[in-house]
Amino acid sequence: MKIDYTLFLPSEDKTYVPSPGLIQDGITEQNINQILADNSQGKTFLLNLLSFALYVDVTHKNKLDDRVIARISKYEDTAEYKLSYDIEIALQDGSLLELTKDVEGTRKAYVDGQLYGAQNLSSLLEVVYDAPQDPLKRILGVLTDVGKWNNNLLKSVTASNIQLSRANNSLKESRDEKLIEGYKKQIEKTDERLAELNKQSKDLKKEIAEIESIELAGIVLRSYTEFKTAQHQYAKAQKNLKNHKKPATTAKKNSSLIATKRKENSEYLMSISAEKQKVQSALLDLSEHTDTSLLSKRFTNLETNWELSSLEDGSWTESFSSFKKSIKEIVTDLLNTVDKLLDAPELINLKQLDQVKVVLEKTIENAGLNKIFQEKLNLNLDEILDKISDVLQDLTILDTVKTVKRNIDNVPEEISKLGREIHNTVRIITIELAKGDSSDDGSYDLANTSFTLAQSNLKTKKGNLQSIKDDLLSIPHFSNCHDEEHIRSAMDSLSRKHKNVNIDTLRNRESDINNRQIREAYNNLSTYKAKFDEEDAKSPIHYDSSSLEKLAKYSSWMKMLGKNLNAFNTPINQYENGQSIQIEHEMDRQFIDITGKMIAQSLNNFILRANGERKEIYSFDIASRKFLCSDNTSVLSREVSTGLTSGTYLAQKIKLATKSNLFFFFDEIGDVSNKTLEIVNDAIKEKIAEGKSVTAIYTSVDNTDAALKIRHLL
Amino acid sequence: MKENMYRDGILDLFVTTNDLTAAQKEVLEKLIDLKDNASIAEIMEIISSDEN
Repeated sequence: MKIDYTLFLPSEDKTYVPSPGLIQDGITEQNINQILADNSQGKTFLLNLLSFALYVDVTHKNKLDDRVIARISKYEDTAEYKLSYDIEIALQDGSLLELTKDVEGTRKAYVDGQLYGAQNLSSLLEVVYDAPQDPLKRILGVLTDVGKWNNNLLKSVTASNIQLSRANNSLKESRDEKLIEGYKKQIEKTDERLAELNKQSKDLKKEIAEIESIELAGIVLRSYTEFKTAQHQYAKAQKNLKNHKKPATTAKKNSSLIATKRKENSEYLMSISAEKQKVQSALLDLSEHTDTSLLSKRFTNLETNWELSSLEDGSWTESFSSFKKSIKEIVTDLLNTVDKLLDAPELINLKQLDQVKVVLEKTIENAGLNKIFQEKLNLNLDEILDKISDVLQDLTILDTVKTVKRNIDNVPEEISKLGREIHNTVRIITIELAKGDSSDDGSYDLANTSFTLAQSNLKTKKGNLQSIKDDLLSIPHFSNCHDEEHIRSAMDSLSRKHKNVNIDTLRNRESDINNRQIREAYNNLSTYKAKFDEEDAKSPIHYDSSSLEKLAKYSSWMKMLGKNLNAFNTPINQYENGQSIQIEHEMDRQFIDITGKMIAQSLNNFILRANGERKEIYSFDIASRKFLCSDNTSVLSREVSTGLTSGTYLAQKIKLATKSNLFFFFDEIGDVSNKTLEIVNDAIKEKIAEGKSVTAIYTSVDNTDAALKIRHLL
Repeated sequence: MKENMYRDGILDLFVTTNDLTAAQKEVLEKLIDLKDNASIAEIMEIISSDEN
């Protein structure tokens, strides 16, 4: 066999080529080639390279372990593995198998120069590629796979469960026709109940109204009696009035009014004196500042001591007119004098100073402005204000003239007003004094008053009667009763009809129907209609109850299955972690049986005991850690021969290979004992003896010598 | 392949324990393999093949 290759790994930026004189032409057909070297010397790569070149990952996909397939097929990734090779192998029939690949190209196989595809090639040769394993490690591997498969199944079941639950919930949101029908019936029933209650209420109201109309008819009849009495009283009063002669009309003097008005006049005269006193005070005040002697003289001559009687006899009028005119002139002169004083330059200055004072007072009230004066202008406004006040206080003339002006300004007007008042009261007193004394005895007045009262009473009774009679006539039973006789007759017939009926009982029943029963019925109707609307708005359902029950059943099963699968993870984890396995349910036991059978199958259903005895097994109990044998015995896992079992397993595989050209690649076989190796070698020798072309390659770790070596075992 | 064996074993175990018929097992398997976001109609169609 000739082997040449170049492998460049971009990730390591490193190129690998075969060791000259060893790998290139050291591997021989019809032999067992044992490659020894320390780790990372390319031993396993050689097995992978030959397998890749022989299309093992394509043609033996279902015969080899996934882990082996994975380590071969990775060279398809030309980005990660820049591989080229040229391999020549002599076949059993003497033809030459050439395997080639360029770095960027695909793998090719030629038999004597003729291109062979993967399938054609597999008809010529068979490859057994494996690595011996400890059965206990294999159990762990199987359990790891079972855990993975269990989780995959659990994932699918959980996803299905979610979909079933969603469908279940969604269909619950669909219309319930039975419920809708039920609500319809309840609505109809409640409508009927309401109609019945309304009828009862109407009947009761009618009955109550009839009984109440009896009372009303009684009142109308009493009003008729009262009206007739009023009519009689009216006629009597009218007759009595006619018997009295109406006295002549003369006005009667009102002495009380005369006294009141004279008292008012006395007060008006006092007020006039008070107004005159204001003028006198003004003259006195101004005399301190100017000459008022002429004005005072005119004032002294004024006549004001009027008697009350002079007001009524007319002698007062002329005197008052003169007084009014004089006082007006004096006041005018006084005001002119005041104005002259105020217009004097010194007083003008004082007035302006007074205005400054007002401005300063407002400035002080404004804290911000006051601060500016104090801090920026260095002026203390309070001190300035005090000084201004002192100046103004020293000159009292200003206050005096101001007061004078204020006091006398309205005096002429007030005096005129008081004069007009006196004229009015005198006119009333004069009128009253002109009236005479009464001589009538009052009998006509009495008769007249009685007649007026009787007339008013008759009018009232007639109005009352008409009003309640109109009410009565509006009641159907009394609609044609326009006189007493008919009203009494109709009232008697109704009284007989409702002879033994208690109106309070009727009112209580009517109140209960309207305030409780009808309200309750309306509430029920509203509730049923709301529920009906809610259900009616839902989507219609297309599935019968049987389908919905099935859906619920499968949803329940799916939940149960998910629960079981979840529970199966526990024993797997417990075994992997070396813990004792607790079997809580029968399902757990059965799951362990299934797992155990898969483990047994992965070991080809047999083990070798430590003494070399072969035992057929059908299961492995992960709880008791025992292999269950076909002869109903059991073998503890620690009693199993690890190496021999693997050797026997490999030998079995070799024996099952039947093609003309056989390749046996066993990685890391150096770990097994010589006895185990012997079993494998013997199987290979048997195949050679059968005339097959056999190329076996073992790899073994040699920790003592790192260099790669090839040993031929045949 | 081996994963399918495991799945079959587990489903057989469930079917036996809960007395499911073969048709019901088939429905159960189809439901486990439901595609994502299957419609209610699709689910009910699968379930309808259970005539029990």
